[in-house]
Amino acid sequence: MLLREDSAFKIGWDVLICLIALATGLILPIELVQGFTYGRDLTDWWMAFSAIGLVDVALTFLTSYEERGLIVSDSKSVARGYLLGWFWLDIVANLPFFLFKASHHGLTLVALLPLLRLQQLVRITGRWEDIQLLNSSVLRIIRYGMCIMLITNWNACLWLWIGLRDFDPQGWIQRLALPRDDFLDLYLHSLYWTVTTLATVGYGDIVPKTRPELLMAIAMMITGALLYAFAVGNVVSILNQFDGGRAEFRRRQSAIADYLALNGVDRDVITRLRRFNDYQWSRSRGFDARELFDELPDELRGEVIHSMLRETIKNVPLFAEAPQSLQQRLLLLLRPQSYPPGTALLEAGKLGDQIVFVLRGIVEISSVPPLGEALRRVECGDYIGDLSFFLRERRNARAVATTYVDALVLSRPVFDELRQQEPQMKALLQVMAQRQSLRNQELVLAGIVL
Amino acid sequence: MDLSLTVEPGLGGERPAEQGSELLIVAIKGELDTNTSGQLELALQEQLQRGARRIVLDMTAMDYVSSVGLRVCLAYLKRLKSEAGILMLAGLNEEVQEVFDMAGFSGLFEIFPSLEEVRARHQA
Repeated sequence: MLLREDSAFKIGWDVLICLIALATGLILPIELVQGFTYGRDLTDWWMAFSAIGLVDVALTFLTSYEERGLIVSDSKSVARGYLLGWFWLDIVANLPFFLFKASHHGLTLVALLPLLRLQQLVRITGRWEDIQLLNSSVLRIIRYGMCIMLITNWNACLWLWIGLRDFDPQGWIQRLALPRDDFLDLYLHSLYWTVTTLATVGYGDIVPKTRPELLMAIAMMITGALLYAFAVGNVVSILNQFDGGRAEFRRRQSAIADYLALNGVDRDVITRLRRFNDYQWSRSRGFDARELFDELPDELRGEVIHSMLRETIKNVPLFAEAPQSLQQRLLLLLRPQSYPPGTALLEAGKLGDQIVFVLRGIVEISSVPPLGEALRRVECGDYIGDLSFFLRERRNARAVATTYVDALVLSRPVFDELRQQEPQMKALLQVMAQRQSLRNQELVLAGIVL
Repeated sequence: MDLSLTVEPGLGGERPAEQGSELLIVAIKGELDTNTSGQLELALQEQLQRGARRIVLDMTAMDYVSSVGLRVCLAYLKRLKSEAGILMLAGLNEEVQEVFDMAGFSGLFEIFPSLEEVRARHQA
């Protein structure tokens, strides 16, 4: 039995691995500069991090993963996939190579190998995106923030290392006459210079003079410019992602309104249309769910719709009383429809050809004008149109939405199909009808057919 | 629509001699719609005035019921109930039964598959 990558334990573990990777990217370069300069060893933390990293390698062999939409959960395939991929990078990043030391001057560059753990940040956050743990825009912001922090820190460390290496007796630390034994102060000055340079502020209180410093400053200015370009591009793209759909929707709304006005449609009608489209936007974000559903196999489509409407259908007896299989079938076959205030769900004078199940909003049943008397209010969970539907008569009353109404519509062909294929359907409607009995008695005795 | 009225005396149960305890059978033939419901209403009205309190609407030969027909059935069900009487339905075909079921009215009436079953029940 393999561990699932979306299990709570694995997610918690991945958070720990991310924190270790981030700590490695931020603290290791600082400790290395300190170690190279003062001949110190790394702290014991790195042994602990390596041990956790190696446990993570072992855990990866025991965790199923997703590849091209398929869950790989067979332990042999998981092991093969890992060994042919990230295993080698993970093992190199986590084996304690930093324990090997050159005989004459303490730490060697192999101590930088744990920085390879940073690839974990990309892999793990990518997984979180796949399992919908975090919104993709939020993840992009997190990744970009981490990228800026790491680049700034590495540049600060490099600048500090150049100052401490005494390539030139007139290096920036000497020129500023900073005490060499206060490492924290030196690091802060270095970080300050890096941030002012990367941010293109450049106060001019710390300036590059020696050759290594000049080279470093050039590289840093180019990095700063690239980071800026990257930042602007990212911000624009994230903003577009957040609001691009709405902007496109507004443009379309405006084009429709222009077109209708040009063709002499009343301003009042255009306003009502705009309000309706605004409501639709608030429900669907401009996304046409039918496009998505059409491509899905029936069973998956049923599950998706069922999950989407789970809360709503709890209050609708038709669904609350139906077994799960029939619920999904009903959701597949019934047509979702929204009605703005003032529009008729069922019009008088027409033959009863549909039953409307109200999911949200308020509907008023009224007799036909000129009387136009309000007869009854219908709310979430009720259904209308059943009398004219089963009697096959013309309606002599109308049902009008008084608020925005979301409903599911059962047409006669769908009803006939359901009745033939789902034997429980008739019994279900009979149970429902008992609940509506009192209302229907009132309507029938008043001579109303709806 | 044709209406045929049959009074079957002595099927009233405990006190057959009492007025109104006879089982009055009103057989309906054809369609019970806007045009014909008036006849049924008149017939029921007349029988009620004569003291009938146990009425069976025999729908064996009836093939359609409209909203107006339903209204007459409902109205007389309520009226008979308020006068300690009873209105029964018998021999509904599938379509008519579905109308009563789906309107939520089948629980209001005593419905029998056939007239024979009504007789059997009330002779017992």
